Amino acid sequence: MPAKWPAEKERELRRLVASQRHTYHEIATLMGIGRNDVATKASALGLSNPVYLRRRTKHKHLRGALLEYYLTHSAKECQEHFGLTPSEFKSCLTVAYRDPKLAHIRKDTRRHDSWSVAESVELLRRSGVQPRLMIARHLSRGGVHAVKEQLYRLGTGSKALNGMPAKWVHAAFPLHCDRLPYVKTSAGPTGGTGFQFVIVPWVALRPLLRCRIDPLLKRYIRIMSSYQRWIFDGRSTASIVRSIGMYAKEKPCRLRSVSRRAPLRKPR
Amino acid sequence: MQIAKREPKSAIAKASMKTRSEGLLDKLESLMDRVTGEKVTAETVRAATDCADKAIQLMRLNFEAHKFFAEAGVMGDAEE
Repeated sequence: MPAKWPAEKERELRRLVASQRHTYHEIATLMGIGRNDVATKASALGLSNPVYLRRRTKHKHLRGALLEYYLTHSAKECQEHFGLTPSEFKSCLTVAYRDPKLAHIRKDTRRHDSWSVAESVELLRRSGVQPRLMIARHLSRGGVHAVKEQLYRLGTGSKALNGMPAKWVHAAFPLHCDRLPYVKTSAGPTGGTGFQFVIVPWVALRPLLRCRIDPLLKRYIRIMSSYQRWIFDGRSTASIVRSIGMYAKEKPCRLRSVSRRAPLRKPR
Repeated sequence: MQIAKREPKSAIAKASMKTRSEGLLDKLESLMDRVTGEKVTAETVRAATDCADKAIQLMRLNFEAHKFFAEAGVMGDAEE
């Protein structure tokens, strides 16, 4: 824990930072203390000192040209064209991105505004049905991380948000699983396993509430189906199943239950 | 003389007592009913999704417990 500073010293630091004429390095020399102490204390006091960034002029003449060239070329091509090392190129871009005069030149087309309610709802409708990358592209939100973060903010991350996994269906309703509309999603675990989730949309399980099944399961189905209908704007069951099938880029199909599946033939 | 068969005390207590899953489900059901009765806003979407996620977690737990007891060959109540 840093040592407590006397009030006078703190006032002096605040005054020097507010003057916006000295870098932390210079302030440390003026006050006769360590550089790190000054930076740490300024951060703790919530001060920011833009002097250093303003003074950084290395490759200043290249910034605009580099950003424009980078729009149509790769990073490697830019480095060769301007004679920069990878580190210099990165540093030059970092500083250029902070310059408001160059804000209109961007290769990055990601959106940085906050998620609207409609976008969050669209994300939830597609969650567990499409790969996260596909959802991110659809909503122009960059890559998988943006989608993961938003799902985390919404308090979920479950693949079963839009339907009960087929494995659970076979375990829970062995007598009724033949009649249900299965959807083979295009989502699956990462790592290139080639496996894709097969689900039954929650609303499609609602007819089972009339059958003789575990009362606990009935309640789960009631909760999840009312949630799914609400997320899908109160649409009909057929419409929701069709939408999920469309998101998965496949029409809902009827799979055979595990117990009645034909045994595999032995190779000759 | 016929002696009436008495049920053990623990069994009576068990029958009258709600299982933990049922208690949680009651809460989740009432919360979901309340939220889905409202309009779609940022807060209601977050609350409903959180609630749905908890329901899925609970369901998964129940499935796992049943699977465990089935594999272990124990005829017990997984809810206890």
